[in-house]
Amino acid sequence: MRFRVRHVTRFSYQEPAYESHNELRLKPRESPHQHTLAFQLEVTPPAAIIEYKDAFGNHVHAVSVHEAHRELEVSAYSLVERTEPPTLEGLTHPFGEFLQGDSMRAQEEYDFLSASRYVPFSDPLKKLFWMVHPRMEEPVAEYTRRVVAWVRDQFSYEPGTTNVHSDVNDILSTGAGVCQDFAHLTLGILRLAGVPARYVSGYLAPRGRTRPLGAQASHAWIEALLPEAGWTGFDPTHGCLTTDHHLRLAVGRDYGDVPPLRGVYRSPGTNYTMGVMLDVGESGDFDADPQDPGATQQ
Amino acid sequence: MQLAHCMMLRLSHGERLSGLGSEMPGDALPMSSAVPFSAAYRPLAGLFDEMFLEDGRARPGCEPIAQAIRSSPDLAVLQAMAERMLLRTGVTFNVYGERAGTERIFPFDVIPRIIDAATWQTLEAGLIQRVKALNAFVADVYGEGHILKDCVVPRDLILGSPQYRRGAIGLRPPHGVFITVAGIDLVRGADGRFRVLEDNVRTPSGVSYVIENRLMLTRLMPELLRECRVRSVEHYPADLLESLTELAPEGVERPTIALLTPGPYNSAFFEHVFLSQRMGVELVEGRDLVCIDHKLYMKTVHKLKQVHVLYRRIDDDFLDPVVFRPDSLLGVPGLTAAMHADSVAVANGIGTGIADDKAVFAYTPQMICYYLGEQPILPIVETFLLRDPEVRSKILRDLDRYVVKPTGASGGYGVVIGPRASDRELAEARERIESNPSGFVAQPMVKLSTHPTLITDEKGAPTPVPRHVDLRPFVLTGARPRVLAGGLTRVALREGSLIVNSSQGGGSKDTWVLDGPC
Repeated sequence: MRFRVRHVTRFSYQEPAYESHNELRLKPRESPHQHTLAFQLEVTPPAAIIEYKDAFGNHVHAVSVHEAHRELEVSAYSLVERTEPPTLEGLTHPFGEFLQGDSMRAQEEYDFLSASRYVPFSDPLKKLFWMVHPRMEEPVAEYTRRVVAWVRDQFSYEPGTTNVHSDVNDILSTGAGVCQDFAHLTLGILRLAGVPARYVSGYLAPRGRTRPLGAQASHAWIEALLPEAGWTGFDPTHGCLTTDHHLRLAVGRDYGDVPPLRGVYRSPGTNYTMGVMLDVGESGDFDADPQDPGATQQ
Repeated sequence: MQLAHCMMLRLSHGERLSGLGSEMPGDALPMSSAVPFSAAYRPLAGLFDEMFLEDGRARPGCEPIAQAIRSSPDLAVLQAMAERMLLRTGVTFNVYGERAGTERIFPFDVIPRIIDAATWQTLEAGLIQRVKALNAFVADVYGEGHILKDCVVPRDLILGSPQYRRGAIGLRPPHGVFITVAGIDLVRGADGRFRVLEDNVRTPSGVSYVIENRLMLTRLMPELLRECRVRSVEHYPADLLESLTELAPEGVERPTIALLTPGPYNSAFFEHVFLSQRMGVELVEGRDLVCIDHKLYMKTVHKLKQVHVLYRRIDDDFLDPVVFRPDSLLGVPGLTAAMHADSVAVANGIGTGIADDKAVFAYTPQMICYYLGEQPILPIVETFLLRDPEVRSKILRDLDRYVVKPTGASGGYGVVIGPRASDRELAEARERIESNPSGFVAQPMVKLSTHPTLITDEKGAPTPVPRHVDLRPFVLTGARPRVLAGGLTRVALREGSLIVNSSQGGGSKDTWVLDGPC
């Protein structure tokens, strides 16, 4: 299935901004189930742009605007081919056996088995882990699915309860959060169980036109490294496997490694507003040009 | 002989010295060996003294200086002159933990430390070999990671190190050089063998003292320096400039170079000023620099001037707020992207601290074998990783016999010397280790070699007494390696103290590498 993505981020500064330096992770990352057929980045005012790959193999664009500006608009257009991901069927490798490779995996997948900035191995997280720890005869794939569904059941999706800098302890204390928090929490449990798990930033394409254009937010989920299957996507916010509508942008240890846009600028003022307009649709599905950036992301 | 000659010219106590000189025409070696060392100086039993054998005879090459020690009143005058010169030239350093901006004179001891030509030849080869391997290691861990895949160094040790910078992955500096300036700390135990105690490959400092110390002795004992055929150190800034020039981006024939300092409150600010002046390059702070279109520029009075090579003396964390600490005001936003664009070279490169992590240090001999296929010329001081439970329980049993160092710190901060620690200090150290075993390494206590050092005794008379010393040679790498002959000899001025760091009450000496056999 083909999808078009248009992701527009617009910053408006109360006082002029200048010497703006940004790191973008907006170009979709390749996988066996996802190919980027076309990608285009437009920045106004005109910017110097270079591209390189980061430590996790994600595409990064360094975008700099030196001159003073009141507005910065970053538009990323992608055309992505996504195939149906495989199911968990036939993945029977039991946890007991899996654990025999634990010390080797602790080396090879160190980044995705260790605590990270947003996923500290805190006491509340460890306590939670013991409520959903693996059984030795249970297949690793089944365990991972069970954790993802359990997190969805135990916590409620409530925008506004956490913020972009919340870590697992915040969702643990409030009992609610957004996709980013669901992902971090699931990463924490899986890592404590010894299943390598990484954070995915991306988009969830709507099915049909159930949600209005321009009001979709970026999405976040996780991937677990399963025996016999490799990196496999799960969506803790929806409590299920990822589908052919999950479009990956970048992967990392947690949100800190993959923010779509991060940067600094100089300005005499401190106030700014950020608007995000995001259109994701099946290829040919949209050509209309919505008038204005809609929802503010955070 | 030569010393007597020198003293006679410089001092008013010439008579006795010139008499001494007349006893030894020409060949100094057999004569001074024949003169029993008597009066002031006694090497400590069971320790290696850099200048004297246990029977009191001077070591080969040290005879001229040994003679000077026999006449310490004259040395005392030289010492007084040296201290006056220091005050005038303003060689200072700041001490962290004291009030910001508290400048101190870095104490200088007038008795030079001698390294004979043969010993230096081995040291130099060992240093070049070592820095070559460290460079290969840094390039590898931010590149393909072969040494991790081959399990020579555990991956978790690298990826879990606070010194590992994921932002350096994918950077390809010219000639593959990440470590342009290295300071390798060497110690000499009771057996007299030089061993590596630790590496400093982030922003090592101290080289300005080497040059200042030499300048001082050039004034105080010029004849002796010449007669001993001491290798020069004054060309270090020129060597550094050449090394930096060689790192310029491709196609840039005459690069503009700048030295980036965190500013006057940094402990090594004096050195930043010194080196920039000697190299004839601009000394800049972060606010003087700006990145435009992924190129680095410095703001000059008239216009912006592109910078091709940045010798930075600020830490990674503060270098670029886009990639590292977003609250840093010391660095240059966009610098990392400019490095990715290959428009500027930054020395030392980002993330070199992974090579001087004190836990990674334990694997440096393996690195030399792995990258160069050679046996290490310089051995290291045995280093135990306390994250290994078996090693840990063994060390914790005998903690009072080891030196414990935090893996993340430098400058001697947080070091516990077991044999000198109180029961309470040991208990506290044990607690810290047990709560964070990966954060510490242990090394057996090296009984550092001693060197005659002028210390004022209780009667107020400066007397040469044994004090512990180490050595920090400096290795430059551009298109090829260049080693500064000698390096910084640091001396622990407190009796019995083994801590030579300037921040912990250490001083320094001029280091004389002799050119050819004496």
